Amino acid sequence: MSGVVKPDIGDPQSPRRREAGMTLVEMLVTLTLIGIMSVALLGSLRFGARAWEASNLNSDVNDEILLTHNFLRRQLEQVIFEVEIGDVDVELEPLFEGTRQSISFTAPWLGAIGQGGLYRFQVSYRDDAVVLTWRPLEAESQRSESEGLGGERVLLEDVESVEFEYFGTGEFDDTPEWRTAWEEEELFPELVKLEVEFASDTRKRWPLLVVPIPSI
Amino acid sequence: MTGARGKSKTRAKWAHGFTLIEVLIAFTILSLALSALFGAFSSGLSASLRAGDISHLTLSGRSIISQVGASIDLVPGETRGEWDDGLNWALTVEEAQPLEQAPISRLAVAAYRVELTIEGDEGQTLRLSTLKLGAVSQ
Repeated sequence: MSGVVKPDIGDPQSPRRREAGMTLVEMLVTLTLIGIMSVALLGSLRFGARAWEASNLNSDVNDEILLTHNFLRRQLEQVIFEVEIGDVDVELEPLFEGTRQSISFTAPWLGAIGQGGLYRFQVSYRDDAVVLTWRPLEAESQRSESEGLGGERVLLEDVESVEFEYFGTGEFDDTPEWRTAWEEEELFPELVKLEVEFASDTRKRWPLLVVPIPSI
Repeated sequence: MTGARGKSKTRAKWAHGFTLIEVLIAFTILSLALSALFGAFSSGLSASLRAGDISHLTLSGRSIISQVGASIDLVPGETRGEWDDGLNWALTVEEAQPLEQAPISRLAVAAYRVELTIEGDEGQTLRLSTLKLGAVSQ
């Protein structure tokens, strides 16, 4: 028998039998398996993409809140009490002023960003956002040099309400208490509180911000 | 002769493709690998959510501790609070052990240990502790 290959369809070992292709049952099983595999694969890819997106969104939200917290804390802890600009007699607006929806103060700006020096900051609520504006604190005569150094930036988006509160004594003999505005007082407040309510369709949660203002 | 035959037989064997069992094994291995991969995705997601919660607790806790000595009196005792967002906090103030013969004991200030335990709405807890200087309590 050896060396002689005899084509015979009935013999399961013969090449002819092997080349005859798959049976319908084999084909069905294969198609089903491929179907299950592609469903599982696509489903898991979709899950992966959604998990990726969700974690990106989550870290963006956390960054926005963390950065705002840290920025406001750092700037408010460095608030300036008195300013003298050279020999020029400058008409300055109050160094610290706050209402329910906005706060203005004077503080040094990071030298790394733009020009260093004292800046006038305002954090206020408008158009569903908390917006920071800044401009250099300079005498009227120098104002032309400092043009273009001011700016504006949105700190928080999707904001529904904003509430600043101030704790302290306006006069020397008052008892300290929380107030909703701080205007034309002799002293600075001891604490500044900021509460923010985000729109309910966002996942943002604002942790209460209370910053101590260093006393003189 | 036999060598050539053996060779062609091997080729024929492989050209036939995979058996059903082989495909099933490959499929099983693929699904194991995929489940490990997506397990990593989901644990990454939950870790980032937990990190967000902890940063929320930390920022809130910092704001509470900032109030000690101003709107919260710096006297030994316990203060508790509960916020709308589900945060529960307890603040204890106790006099820190004065250092023996420290010159500071002659001053009218004392050191207070301020401990804050803050609990989130899903049971995460965070403890913050600091020392603050304040007037000597009588």
